[in-house]
Amino acid sequence: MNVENKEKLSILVDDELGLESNAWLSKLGQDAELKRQWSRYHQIGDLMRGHTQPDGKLDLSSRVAAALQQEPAIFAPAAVSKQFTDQKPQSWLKSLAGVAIAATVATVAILGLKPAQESPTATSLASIEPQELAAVQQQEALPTTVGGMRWDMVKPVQAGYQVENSLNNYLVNHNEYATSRGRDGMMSYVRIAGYDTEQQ
Amino acid sequence: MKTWGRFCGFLVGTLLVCPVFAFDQTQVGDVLEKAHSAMSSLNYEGTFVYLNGTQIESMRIFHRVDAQGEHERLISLNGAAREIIRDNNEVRCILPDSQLVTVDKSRPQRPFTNILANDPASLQQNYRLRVGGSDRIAGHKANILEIIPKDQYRFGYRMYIDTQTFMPLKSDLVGRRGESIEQVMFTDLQIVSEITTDKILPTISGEGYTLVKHPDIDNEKGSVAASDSQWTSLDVPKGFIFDTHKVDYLPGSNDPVEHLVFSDGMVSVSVYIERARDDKQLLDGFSQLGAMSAYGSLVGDAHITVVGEVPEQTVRYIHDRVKQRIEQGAP
Repeated sequence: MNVENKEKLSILVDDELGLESNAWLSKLGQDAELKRQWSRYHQIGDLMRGHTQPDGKLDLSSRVAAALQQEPAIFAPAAVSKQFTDQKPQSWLKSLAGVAIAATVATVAILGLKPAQESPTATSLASIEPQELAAVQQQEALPTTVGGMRWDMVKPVQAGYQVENSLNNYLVNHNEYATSRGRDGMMSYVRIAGYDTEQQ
Repeated sequence: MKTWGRFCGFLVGTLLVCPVFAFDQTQVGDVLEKAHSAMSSLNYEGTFVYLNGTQIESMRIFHRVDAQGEHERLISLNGAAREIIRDNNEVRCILPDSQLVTVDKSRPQRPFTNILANDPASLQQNYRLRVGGSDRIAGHKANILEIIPKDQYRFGYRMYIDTQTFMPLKSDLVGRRGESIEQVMFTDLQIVSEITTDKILPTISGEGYTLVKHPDIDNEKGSVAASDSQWTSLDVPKGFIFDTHKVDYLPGSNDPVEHLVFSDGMVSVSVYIERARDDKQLLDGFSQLGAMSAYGSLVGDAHITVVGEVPEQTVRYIHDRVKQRIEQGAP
């Protein structure tokens, strides 16, 4: 992927592409490499903002793993994993703080940068220099699935399409009853519109 | 002009009360209600991305409110140009890749479930509500709300709400270990005075496509409220309560399907029970699509399918209790 594409994608991730964004989103749908890069930038963005932490799906480089292992116990998975469990506010905040710090460490390890002086939430991907993006690019590729959504079948031997079609009918019907707050409308049919009938 | 006036009134009202809204812990429920209301009452168009793991889909949405109610058009920008057109009467899915048009009835979207309308505090029995700072999404300033489940039977949510219009700009669905399961984020959003009619009409005619309709669209068959339901006392995970019991008909089928809905005020779970047929294969076991879980099995001559935006254990739990009831011969 050329540098210009990477820069555009980075700006798009930061919602700064303005009028060009629609064209780029369309490109995303057709270009597997762009999709992978997009996914990677978002994961980095989330890490920077402390909104997520590396989980099993993110095969981060051995440098990250090594960096985390050397950190004090606050970075232990158990502490991080309690972020969304029922805890007393104080311990919840504590573990969230742990996640934020761990995320910074992970990001720094990925980018090979010094810790940012500014607040993680103020960090912009657009502000990352091209050579730093190149450093990201050189990391081992994150496992990425490219293609539309499908029902994940436990028993693939089942008469696939018939079962999936009936599940889709249930889904459309259920959506009309779904009461997810604030997610109605936007979320209700996204899964159907994004559903991929081609992928095997 | 009427709509514009309503929008101005809404904006002025919002600006007078709180120029850029800021809130504390006690107002989270109120803000969620306003966010929900903004999505269904404003005219807007925008592009958003849906992320599920490393999967990305981008979509365009148009939403209009007029004297006839709500109109919405959703178009997939990736791959096949699927369109979903929804108004107060029907939901039409136009699927060019499978040359199919499905038409189902739409149900009035309630602002919230009855439980919440009567008792906003009930949400806090199942979730911890938090104010989580601020961010900027699609050029709009947003306040972050965190809705954290108190047990393993539901997901958490992190919502980014526009500080001026209360429109949700981004929504993350978060698992028990804090992992992000699904994200929806506007990359462009315009709240406008008017959405012209051409924007809510399908661009694909669907001519020559197979048409699959909900039986109720054309004839009198359809959903029937089941009174004195025996399912009200079903053992379901704590916090969920019985909401609806109907006999439904799904698109393309004349077979009645019993439909039960349980809700915890934030999310709902549907149970479908239909008579098994040799020529129809249904789900056996667990399956998922993004954050949507499904669990199904055959019990005697009945087939149970449970679906909802909940973790696997919730659909399994409810499935197992329904199965138990059916095996005991009730109802």
